Amino acid sequence: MTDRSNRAITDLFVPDFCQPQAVAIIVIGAELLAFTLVVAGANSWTGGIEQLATTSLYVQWAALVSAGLLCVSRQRLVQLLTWQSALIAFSIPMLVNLALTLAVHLLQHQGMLSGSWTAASSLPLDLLRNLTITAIVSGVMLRYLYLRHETAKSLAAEHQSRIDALQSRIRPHFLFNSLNTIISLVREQPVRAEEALQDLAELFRHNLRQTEQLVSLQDDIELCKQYLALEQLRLGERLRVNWKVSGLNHLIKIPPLVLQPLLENAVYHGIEPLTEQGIINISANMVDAGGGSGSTSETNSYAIAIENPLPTNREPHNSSGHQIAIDNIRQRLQAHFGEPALLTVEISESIYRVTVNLPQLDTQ
Amino acid sequence: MTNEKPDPLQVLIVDDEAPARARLRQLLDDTNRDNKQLTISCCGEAADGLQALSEVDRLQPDLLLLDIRMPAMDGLEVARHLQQLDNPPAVIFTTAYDEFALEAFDANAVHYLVKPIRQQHLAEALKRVKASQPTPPLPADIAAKSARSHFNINQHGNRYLVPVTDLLFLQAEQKYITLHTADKEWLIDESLVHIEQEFGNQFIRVHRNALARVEAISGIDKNSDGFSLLFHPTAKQLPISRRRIAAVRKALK
Repeated sequence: MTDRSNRAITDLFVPDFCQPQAVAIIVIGAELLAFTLVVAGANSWTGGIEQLATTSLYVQWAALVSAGLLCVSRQRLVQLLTWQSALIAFSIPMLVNLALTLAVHLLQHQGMLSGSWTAASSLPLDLLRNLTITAIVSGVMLRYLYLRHETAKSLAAEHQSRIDALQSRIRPHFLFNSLNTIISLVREQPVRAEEALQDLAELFRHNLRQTEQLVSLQDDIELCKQYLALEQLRLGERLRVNWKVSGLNHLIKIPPLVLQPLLENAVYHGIEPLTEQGIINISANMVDAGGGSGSTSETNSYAIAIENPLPTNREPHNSSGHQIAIDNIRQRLQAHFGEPALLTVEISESIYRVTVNLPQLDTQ
Repeated sequence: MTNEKPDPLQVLIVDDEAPARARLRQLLDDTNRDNKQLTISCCGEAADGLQALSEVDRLQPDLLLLDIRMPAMDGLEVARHLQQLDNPPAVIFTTAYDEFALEAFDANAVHYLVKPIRQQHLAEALKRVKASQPTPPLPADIAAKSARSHFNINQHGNRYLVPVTDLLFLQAEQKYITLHTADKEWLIDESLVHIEQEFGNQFIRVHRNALARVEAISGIDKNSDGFSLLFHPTAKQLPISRRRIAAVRKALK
């Protein structure tokens, strides 16, 4: 329910005229317009109030009926393309004014209106005047609403991309715990401390790079091993890692910061909540997707699967952040490879398994 | 236990990471060496929250250096259980990174140290404890931020920790709540409404006076009196009120 209305807001630039706030603004705006029209057309000191009353009546009717129709048709407008909904949103006040002008003239013809209504000119001139004013006012208003909506949309997109960028970064939790681990080694095992600091430096050099350029999977796996070496120092016996890598070649590429964040998730959600030892299994191998002719490179893909135990006492509040990170990685894979690059998550009774499928790029 | 306390401050180190515990030991040694007016003795270590509570019973330390994020039971919950002791030890939380808790700690004057810990900061915190400034109780909003993993039960002077995952359902009877596990019943002095709020959708209200743990429910049985919840493989049952049957069904889907 909320999901749907959120989508409607981002897709349709016409605001919801059913809201009391919008109705209030329409009423005030219509009254200002009526006042402007009366002041602009006034050529004597008398009859001003009466003129304002009739003009207000007409403009309020036109504005509120148009807003009402836009409100009712909003559900339909959401499903249309922008230019289609803009056309309809423009036509509605035009048609309403056409109908109202005709109605006023009809009533006038039958002598049911008196006072300043009778001062109205001929029907064609009235139609021309009313529709021109309507076209200008609703055109300017729709343009304003459209620009406002675009600004809001680009602000939201920028905000989201900033969050996404943060999500794929190393957790501060890991940084400070690693530094603490290294400090504990400095006196007793200075050589190991040196190695660990070098691993940490390498890891951050990659994490701080702004580029989204593909890197070789071979190099990326090396980086992941350095990351896991740091976690091993920190967690000791509690972490066991099994690597099973086969069929690796330099043609297989991966966007940066895909595997390492997935492994970090595996440690954070799979190993750290356990009191006993937990195992992370990483398998990477060629998958022959095509039938018999396995030699055609385009049908082959390379699969990397990461498995970690699923603790029984999971922290439910963390799972949403975790889901955002997974979605972010999935989107980035798709931006690079399109459909063939897939990220799948399988959750069984006690195992969490995430698989990344990479297409093998052509040599040419 | 009623004897006057021995002079050195007895410290229990609680952290799930062995290097972090080693580092704290180093720091305590350094502090002992550098500060004439402070004598500290590290009386033990624990690697998770449950171990910490049993070590507190066994060793009766004056102070816990308590990590927040730990498996089995986190540091905040340990502190919460400690507050139920007659003479609780002082607590200094240690954490690598925990933005939310630290802000709340600052606001409530809870003692904490961020890892990597500076020796000077540790010494200052120890002096404050030594000066027997009372440890302020953990603010309720921090304690309630995460649901407990265990209920702390005081029965005939003995303390028991009952894992939440052992529970089938809770039933309010006049002043008390009965916790039903597969083979036992325990009495606690709490309010059903607070428990419902604390545990969110882990528990579901099935009756005006009863909450059932969703994971423990095995099915719904219809009999002449109406509907009741089943908790296989145990024989225990819990009647569902007519008004809640639809909500219960929905939650079990």
